[in-house]
Amino acid sequence: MTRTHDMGGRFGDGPIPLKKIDGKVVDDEPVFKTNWHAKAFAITVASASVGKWSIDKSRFFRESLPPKDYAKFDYYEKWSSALINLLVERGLINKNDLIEITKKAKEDNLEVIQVTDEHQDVLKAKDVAITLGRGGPSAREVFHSPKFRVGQEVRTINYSPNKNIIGGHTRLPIYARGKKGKVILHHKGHVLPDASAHDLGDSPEHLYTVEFLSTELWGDKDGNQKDSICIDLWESYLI
Amino acid sequence: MSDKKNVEHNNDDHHHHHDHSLLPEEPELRVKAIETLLLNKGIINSDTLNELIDTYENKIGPRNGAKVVAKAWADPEYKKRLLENATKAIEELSYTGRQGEHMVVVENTPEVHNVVVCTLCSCYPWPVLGIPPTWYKSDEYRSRTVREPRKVLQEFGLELDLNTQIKVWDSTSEMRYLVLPMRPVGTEHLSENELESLVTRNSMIGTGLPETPK
Repeated sequence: MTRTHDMGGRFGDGPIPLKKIDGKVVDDEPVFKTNWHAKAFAITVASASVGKWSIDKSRFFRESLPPKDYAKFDYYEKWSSALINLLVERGLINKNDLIEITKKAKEDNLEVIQVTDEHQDVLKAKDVAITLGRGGPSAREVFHSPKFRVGQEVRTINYSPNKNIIGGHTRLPIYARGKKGKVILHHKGHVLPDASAHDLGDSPEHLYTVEFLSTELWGDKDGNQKDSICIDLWESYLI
Repeated sequence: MSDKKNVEHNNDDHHHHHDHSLLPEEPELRVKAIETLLLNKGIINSDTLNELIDTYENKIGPRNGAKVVAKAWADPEYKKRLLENATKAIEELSYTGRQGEHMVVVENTPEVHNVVVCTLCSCYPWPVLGIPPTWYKSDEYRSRTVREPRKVLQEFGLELDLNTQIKVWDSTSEMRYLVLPMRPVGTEHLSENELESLVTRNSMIGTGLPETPK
């Protein structure tokens, strides 16, 4: 059971798309490459104030795009398409709205009207700085003591940790399932994405960073035998 | 996880993952249609969109992270605080909030080189680095960095000694990782401001090194 976004370790992808001049990497890309990228970004961030979905739910909607769309879409096409699906799921817009606006778009007749009754939770320009500065911390108190300690050897479970939703959201990458590693950091309690993505509450668990040797994940290979991959994992992902 | 018990398996989520196909296919027109629809519904506000875009184009970006790194290079006490509790130490410079709520700073040394990726999506520490560049969000970087980091780093022009251990940090949670690169040699006489100008974005992700003084 996997989804198309879970691509760590996948074969077949080519060179990293870097801008190079005379073989040297040049890092001068604008923040937003096009106006519609900027708009897709801002619309998504702003809509969350009204939609009130968790970050996990928005991630789940992006990774749940049909695999063909996920592979084909540009980054901000994924964002804007997932946003629309979220807004329909939340009942803030409906399919007729989409059909109608598409008709207008194709007639080149997209007209912004003067809205007199904005949604009560709409994000106002004057509140942008404070809203971003506050963010949405995921740390939560967990009332039982941690099952694992720093330095301890652990193993990840070898199936999708999401027990409630088939094909549901999880943050245990498939390349790290059923693998042995060592706890190197303990971050205390954090919201469990597997629950939060599906409106099932925070269900906080202890969160750890687990270090896996590259050889454990990919088998013996050339290179430094101490090379490692560190992954943040929730307690229920570990045994 | 008692609150997870008794939850009916709910398939509703699965019904809405195709609704976007009702919109125009061409991305620019699609986004314009979404913008118009949501403005007219009162879900978003036009001034807010401009404010958000301006914030990430002009206010929040990798120069914030460069200030953190330069301060850590110049001030050993600050560096200590940064490695112990990065969120708090970064807050001293007023960089807080969205996508940087829980920060961890990982230090490069002659023995260990750190590099950050998000294989599952595009997690990145916004308050200190801003919006990630296209390559960070690409399938190529996401899929390959965990399996063949040395080859990936070579494409960035970074040849690491085989004796150096590479630690790849896959950002799967809300912890956000910032690499503290090694201070370049020959910079003992430089001020914090001068140091800051040597810190590149890629050096704070682990896909590059700071510049050396001219």
